[in-house]
Amino acid sequence: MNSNDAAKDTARKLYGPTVEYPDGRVIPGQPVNVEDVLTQFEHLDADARSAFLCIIAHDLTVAVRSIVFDPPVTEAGLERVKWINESLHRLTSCVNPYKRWSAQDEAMLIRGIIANSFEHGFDGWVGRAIAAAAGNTTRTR
Amino acid sequence: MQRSGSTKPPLRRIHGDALYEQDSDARRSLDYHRTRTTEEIVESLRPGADESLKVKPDGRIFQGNTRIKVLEERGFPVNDLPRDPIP
Repeated sequence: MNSNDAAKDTARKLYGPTVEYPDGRVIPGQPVNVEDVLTQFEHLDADARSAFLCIIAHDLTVAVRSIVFDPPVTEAGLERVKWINESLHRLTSCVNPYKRWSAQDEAMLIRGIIANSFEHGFDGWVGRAIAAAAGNTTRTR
Repeated sequence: MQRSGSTKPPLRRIHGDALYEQDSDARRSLDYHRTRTTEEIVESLRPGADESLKVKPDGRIFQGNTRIKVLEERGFPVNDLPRDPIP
């Protein structure tokens, strides 16, 4: 996947978490403005960017837990896990403080993860994760 | 335990109590969350929080197990909490 493909895919819509209330109300997830989020991301300091990336990674572990918890896992589920693991592999590499990436490279990594999530059907997880990461890092620092 | 008016399936932890006896990391996590106030835990589970309460349609908890356990120990009506539903 080249950077043009990644940029194109961030134009597709990601959505934040749906909220279910005990009285039965359901508030659908809101669209995530990826460009705004990534612009703010690039202005964060290294610690805040690490927090952002760790939130995404942590959410993706829940995605894997959800897919594999009830065997048998379908072929499609396994394929999805493979690609989620690739995302985790890259995320956990770039948050290593001894091997820091630039903010721009980290933003490109997020774009790539988004593109892969659309291609491999885990965009719901990535949208939820990015919304949480943005809400808990970019707006509070 | 207080009664809940929730229309959703009751929450069910996927981590049983035995885990906290068998797994020292899980035990440490439990000990940590027991030091937190109820308000802090509830806030941490809020949809949109960085480790929100993630729940399958059948009520199984895929994130927030230990915090829900602590709230249950305190008699908090956990089924009244908003949920982040997952597929």
